[in-house]
Amino acid sequence: MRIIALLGAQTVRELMRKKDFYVFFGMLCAVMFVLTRVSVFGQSDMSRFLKEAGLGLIYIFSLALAIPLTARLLITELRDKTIYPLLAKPVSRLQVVLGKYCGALLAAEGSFSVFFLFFYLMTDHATDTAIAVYAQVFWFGALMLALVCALSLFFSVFCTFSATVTLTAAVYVLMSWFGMDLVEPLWSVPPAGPALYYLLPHFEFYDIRVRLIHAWPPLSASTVAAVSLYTLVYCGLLLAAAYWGFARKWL
Amino acid sequence: MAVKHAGSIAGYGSGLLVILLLAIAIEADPAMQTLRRGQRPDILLRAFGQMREVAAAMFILKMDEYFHRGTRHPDGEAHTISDHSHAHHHGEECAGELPSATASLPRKDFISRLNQSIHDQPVRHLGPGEQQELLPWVAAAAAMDPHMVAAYLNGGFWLSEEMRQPAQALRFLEEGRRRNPAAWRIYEQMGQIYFRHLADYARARAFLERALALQPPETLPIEQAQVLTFLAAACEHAGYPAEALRYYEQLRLVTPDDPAPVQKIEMLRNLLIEAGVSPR
Repeated sequence: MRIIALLGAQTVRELMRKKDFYVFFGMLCAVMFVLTRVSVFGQSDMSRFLKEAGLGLIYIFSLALAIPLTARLLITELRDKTIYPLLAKPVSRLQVVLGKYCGALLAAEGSFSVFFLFFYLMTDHATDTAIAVYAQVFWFGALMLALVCALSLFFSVFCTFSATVTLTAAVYVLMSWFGMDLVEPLWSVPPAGPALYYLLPHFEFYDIRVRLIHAWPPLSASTVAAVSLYTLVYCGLLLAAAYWGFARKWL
Repeated sequence: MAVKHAGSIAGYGSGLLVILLLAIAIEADPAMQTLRRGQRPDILLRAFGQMREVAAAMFILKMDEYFHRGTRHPDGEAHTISDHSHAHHHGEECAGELPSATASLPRKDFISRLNQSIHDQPVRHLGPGEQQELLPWVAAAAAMDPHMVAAYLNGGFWLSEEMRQPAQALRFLEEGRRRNPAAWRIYEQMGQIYFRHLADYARARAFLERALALQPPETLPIEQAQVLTFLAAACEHAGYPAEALRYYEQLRLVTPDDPAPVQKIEMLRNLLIEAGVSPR
């Protein structure tokens, strides 16, 4: 566990050294500040628009940080040959995979938390939206990033950096936007269709921004627990598959 | 090495852009068909060559989503303000909750059930004092595609009818009229605003006459009738009974089963005869 934690801390330090996080945070601050002063047709009290824009930017920036950061972790180690002294320490391949994942997860969740905290402070949260909804949107965003990092790490074992980023982003976009529409087409082509339907990561679960924007009631505890369990199991399977691929990789 | 990295970044960046553009074009397809009145260029052209129109259609979809508090119509269609079935669309006069778009999802498996529990929400409209939330999307749609007449019509409707700002509505519609001089619906809406909110019957008549002149031959009878009704009433209120009579007679041809124009015609004929003016 100590080795995994050390590897994870190294990844977080890597993010802090890069300018990506600061650039995105600066952009978020600037855009949110401008939007709070926007007046359309003489109207300025448009809180939903502000929340929509803010949350959209948070999701985009968090994904833009998480996907490439995770994608380059193993690939960089292999390319720069730093994997050899790492494995010679000795650090097992499983510890490498888990350590890199934990580091990516910490970095992604940390960035997302900072963005979300800023968003919470900037928006009018004292009115009709329950604090539970804010908490659930945050939690689901964190779960989404956990799954995205696991998926990116999995692809990075088998693909180049460019392909990893493209594939992860493609799967995320396609499932987020069309995941619910795939039921009928896939179930009409048994047995491959239903198998693919279950195999694909259902990112459409995690986008509950509409609940915060339009003041919907919070989700039930059972729904939150079910999505959390789904994420845990799916991430576990992806990490297991990533370890399996990495263990068989000729270094 | 730098060139290789730049090429790699350009490569995956281009790939991401292609995927995003196609996803947006597919998502906006139903709205594009409705809003562009049957014009349907190839999806690749829409994705890459007409991104502004696609973005404007997405903003109109967003406006509709906001109107329905984040839910969507069960069949995916968007509102238009000329939707004459609006009053019965969601059955506001019906008691109880109405099904949402996700209610029709087949409950075959735990994933579908989970999606339903997460995304299911009864359809509701924005209440009084909340319609200003629609305005940013309307403004964005008009900015993206100045030829998106629906954007101007929706903006004009919300500003004049719900927010009681006819002057603001007219300014926005005037911008739409300048950019779309052949859009008869904009003239119609401006005429209605002058008639109903400002009692400026002379201006109402001018705009409605222009709308009538611009209507193509294939215009639906109900849409012709709407323009003629307001035009005839505007002439009547402005003190031009002969012109009002002419338009009511046109209206009677368009809606032969409606008794209201017949009564108006008789009343105006009697009025003109009393005034010593020939009805013809």
